Amino acid sequence: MGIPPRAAYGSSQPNVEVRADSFGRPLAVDETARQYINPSVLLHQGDSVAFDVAVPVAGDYILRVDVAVPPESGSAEGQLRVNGNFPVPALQRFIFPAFYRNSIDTFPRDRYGNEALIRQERDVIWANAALRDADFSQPYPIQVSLPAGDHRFEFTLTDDSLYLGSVYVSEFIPYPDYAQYQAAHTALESSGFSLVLEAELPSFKNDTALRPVSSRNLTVTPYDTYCLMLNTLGGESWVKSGSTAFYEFTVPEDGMYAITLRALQDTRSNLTVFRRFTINGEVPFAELNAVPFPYSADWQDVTLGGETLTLIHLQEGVNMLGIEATNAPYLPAIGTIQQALIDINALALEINRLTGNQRDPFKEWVVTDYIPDIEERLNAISQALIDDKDTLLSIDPSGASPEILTYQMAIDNLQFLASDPNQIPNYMSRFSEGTGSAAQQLGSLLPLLQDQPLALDRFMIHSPDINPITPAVPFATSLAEDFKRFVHSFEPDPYQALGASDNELEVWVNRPRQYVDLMQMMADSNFTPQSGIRVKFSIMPDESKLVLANAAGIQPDVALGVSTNVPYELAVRNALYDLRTFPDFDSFINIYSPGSLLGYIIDDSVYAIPETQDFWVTYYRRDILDSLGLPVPHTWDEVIEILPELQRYGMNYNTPLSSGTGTRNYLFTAPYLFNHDAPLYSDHGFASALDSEQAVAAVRFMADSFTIYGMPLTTASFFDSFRYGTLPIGISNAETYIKLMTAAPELGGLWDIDLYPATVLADGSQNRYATGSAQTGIIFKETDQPDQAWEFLKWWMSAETQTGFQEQLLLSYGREYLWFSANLEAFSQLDIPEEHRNVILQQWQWLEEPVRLPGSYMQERELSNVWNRIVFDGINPRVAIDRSISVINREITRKMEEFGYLVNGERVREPHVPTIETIQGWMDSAN
Amino acid sequence: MQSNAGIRQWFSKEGGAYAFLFPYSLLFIVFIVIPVLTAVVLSFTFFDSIQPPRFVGLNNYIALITQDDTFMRYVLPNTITFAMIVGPLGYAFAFILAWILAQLPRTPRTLFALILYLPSMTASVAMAVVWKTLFSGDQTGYLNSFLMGLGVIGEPIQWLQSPQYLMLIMILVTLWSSMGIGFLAMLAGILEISPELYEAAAIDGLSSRFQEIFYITIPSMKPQMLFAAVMSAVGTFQAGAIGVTLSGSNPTPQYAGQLIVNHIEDYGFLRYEMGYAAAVSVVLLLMVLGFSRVATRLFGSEEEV
Repeated sequence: MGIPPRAAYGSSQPNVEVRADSFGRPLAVDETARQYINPSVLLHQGDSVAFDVAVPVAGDYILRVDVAVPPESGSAEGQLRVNGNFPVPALQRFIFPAFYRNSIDTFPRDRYGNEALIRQERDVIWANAALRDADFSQPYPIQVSLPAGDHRFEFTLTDDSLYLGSVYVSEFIPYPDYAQYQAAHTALESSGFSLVLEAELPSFKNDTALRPVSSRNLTVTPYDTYCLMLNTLGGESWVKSGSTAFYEFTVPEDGMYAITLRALQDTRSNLTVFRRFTINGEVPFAELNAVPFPYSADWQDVTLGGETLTLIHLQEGVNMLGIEATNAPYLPAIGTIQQALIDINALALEINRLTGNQRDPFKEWVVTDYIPDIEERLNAISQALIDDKDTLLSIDPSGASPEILTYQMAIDNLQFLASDPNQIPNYMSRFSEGTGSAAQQLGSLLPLLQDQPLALDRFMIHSPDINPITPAVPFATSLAEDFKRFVHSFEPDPYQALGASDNELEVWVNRPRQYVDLMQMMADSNFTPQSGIRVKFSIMPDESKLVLANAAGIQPDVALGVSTNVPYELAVRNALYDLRTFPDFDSFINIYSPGSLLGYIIDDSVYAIPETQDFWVTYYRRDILDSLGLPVPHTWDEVIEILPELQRYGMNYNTPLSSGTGTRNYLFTAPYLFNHDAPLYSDHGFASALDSEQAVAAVRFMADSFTIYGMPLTTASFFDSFRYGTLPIGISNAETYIKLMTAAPELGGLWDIDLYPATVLADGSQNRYATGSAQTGIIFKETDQPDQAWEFLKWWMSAETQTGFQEQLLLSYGREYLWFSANLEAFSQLDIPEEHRNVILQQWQWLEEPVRLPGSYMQERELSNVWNRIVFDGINPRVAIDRSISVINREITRKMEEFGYLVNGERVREPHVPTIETIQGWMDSAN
Repeated sequence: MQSNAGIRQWFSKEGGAYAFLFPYSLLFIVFIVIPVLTAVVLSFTFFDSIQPPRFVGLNNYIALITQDDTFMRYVLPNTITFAMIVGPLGYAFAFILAWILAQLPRTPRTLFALILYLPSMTASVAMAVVWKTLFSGDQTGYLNSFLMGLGVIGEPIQWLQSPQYLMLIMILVTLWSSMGIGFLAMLAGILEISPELYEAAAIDGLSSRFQEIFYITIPSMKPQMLFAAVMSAVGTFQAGAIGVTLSGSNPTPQYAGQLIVNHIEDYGFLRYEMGYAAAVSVVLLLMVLGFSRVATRLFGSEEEV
């Protein structure tokens, strides 16, 4: 792949070229640099180059650069200063996407004959890229207005690495329209030529999210009655503006050609999506800068230009077609909504500060006295939205799209509120809180307008005299196909079948189908060839099946996705294989936070390894805390300090204890004990230690949070309360994180996470231990191939597999499928904002799980009862604890007898109570 | 030879009856007798549902009576309170509503019967979602929001977390859904009574509707009353899901809503003591049996007692 031929936008020629050898840095001489004709430099994060450009005349200028992203880095980001500052905000951040190509030419088949995704590999391509806005939403590159004379440019690379070749500064000229283009290109119309390209196999692309999907439509090529073919490209995976697929193809002679695409946009009813077409890196004429694809229920042949066929000049030989998703036509509307959301949130905060926690429907407010311009502000917001709605209607005049209706509902809400501003405190649910509020409706509109889903089956480069229309499928054929599939549906689904053949490792997975399919595919393509061990995955819909299967003697070799409390119960009853008997176990566990293993240890044996991990971190609404002037608390003392201020405005702080259900288990309660340095057991595990001074202090604080400090006892949904601003700060877990990342577009950039608040002890030390185990993997004792099973577990938890798995999940199913691997190295590769990743990684340094011993479940239960007694019955903590201690100790004795630690009251052996240091010791001695 | 002939004679005489009985008895044995016997056998063992059971004699029963603090202090009183209130009250409601419905013309009667029967048709777990929203412990819960709006309470009440309220709510929700099959049977029973009986009684000097119910309606529908009484006894003792679904966990907070069925699940599935759980279920079976006998004595005809 050479450089896509450099050409300036429109007919303008590059006014100035600055070559890399004038940057004053050592020139790059490696393999990548040699693919480029001119000299180039290799920049790393933080490097910058400066150069002077003399501009002959005043005017708007654009910059183009020859760049290549090095094979080992992801997309590079840069910024450009002109004469020491940023004349346009967009120059503060622009992106050079990395390119990816398929590692093989055809789709591999999985073990059931269905096509599987091709592994993507990085492709190093020298490209002549214009500096564009970071969202790739603007119709034109960034334009800088420059007076005539000398200007100093400083290019800084802010993320990753980049090869930088020549820089071109040229005058900005908009694309010509088709008439001008036609006049400028006098080449002959081609004749009798047609070339079909399957869209699902692009030559390369700049976004890994863009991937092939399967369609069972009869007209889609290729087609198979029974197997799932990956035969189309995009759809819901091709939504982001700037996401581009490139196709290289050869035409026999210079001339004018037409392009016809077979496309489907059936996901957004009555909304038009847009694609930008480039030929050899260039938009030929303005009409191709945003080609509309209206809604259609079925696949359609779309010829560029529609009725008035537009012909495009292609040169003899290899040409390159780029198809880029673009939301440029919706950009003004998106901007208005973003501004409206900011205005609404600001106004809502002002109202909240006025009314505070006095939400009383019978109280009358004269809001206009305090916020005199409230009516104008509301009307201004709704007027801006009305104008945008009209723009949207001009793009798609049917007016029946959900987007238009959402606009109308938001506008209605705002106009209703503006009609009587003094009633707003009673109608906050129509303004900023709740699912029907204007803020939420506008928030839900954002992704709808930003995303541009379109599926492509194939496209045809053809001469204008060729008819590209795909004939309709005869009714009889489609009936026959449906009937064949109906008959086929009675055959058992191979993915569901339990039981593996003798030479296969049987793995039960407590996860949905999507995960298990992907795991099977990865094991088949990576693990089996390298180890020779065949693995058969089955979906285990219910964990209790494990106990029953074990009783019936049909247990699998390995189970994955097992809840964190199950391994101990199975292991203590001799159902699980001791993983520590594998000689390399101690060196293997280096990938984990040591505390994560604590719950699976019995007497120096380990019976499970963590697969995924949860986390408790502080979530906070930056906008609300800022407007109240509150700092983010880092310790519980600081939390208590900001509470009165929050409660004055009817807000509060969320603790995990309030999200829990009836019985608060260790997941919610144990962190309090850990952080007060309270031991769980005394007397070598034969008695509870809940009566220690530290434990009493911990329990007292657990209760005081509610009885004295007034934190909410029940939070039906922290996510919702967080969105509506009633709980602008609080501790929550990974589930909330995923919801905030995916389902709260209106909060984008307004929230952040921080560590679990620390408990400051009398000696000044700070503890922020929190639980965080999610799912585990186990090997059954009755397995006949323990070594293979262990080999498999090691492969599965290896950083490489976990990284690949989490990437594939995101690519295939989106951000709802974020995978929080317990392998710390794999997690540090997860595609979430770096600040968040660092907070979570730091919190995982404080991961601790309660040690389990016979009868310890009684302590878990009684701890919750103690808390409940103090909070609801007002009993003194010490009295409540004393009452529970005897219950716990009796159960511990009972269970110690059951498991043979006690025989007739005599201590036969003592359980080893592990600590984090124990595990740290194993890890250290293994190295 | 003689015995052979005897068998043949017996077969020709009663074989047909046994052949007709066979499908039912097969199902009865497989699905009722064998599981019950298994439970009885398991109740004499220690069985952790993973390793093979170990015979322990009467230890489980002894432990239940002498050592199981939770059972004696919470579970048994809870179950009896629950059963004593929900059983008779639900039964009385069912009768009163059935009697009222019987006074209505056909179309509205069918409609109301369907409406009243609806709660017991829907899965209780699905309905618990509705109840949980109603009794939610934050200010967004309907009841809390309503009471706070009226100014009756200043702070949300933890209906489902706090031990004082949980049992009350469990009883309310169960009563709401208690118009089950017993209610339908009673409705049918009341409609079956011949109007001539009432006319005759009126001539004999019956003076009020109350006397009508007491002297005619109830005696004429004894079989349905018995059926409904047994159903309600069995139903209330077997009810257990409601407390766990409402509070969100087994065990319920401070065992406030712990019924025998929850106790069995707690031991069987959370503590892996299946043998002990079997012993508790045998006790539950005996209790249900006892209460059914009481119902039979009250409503059964002479020969059934």
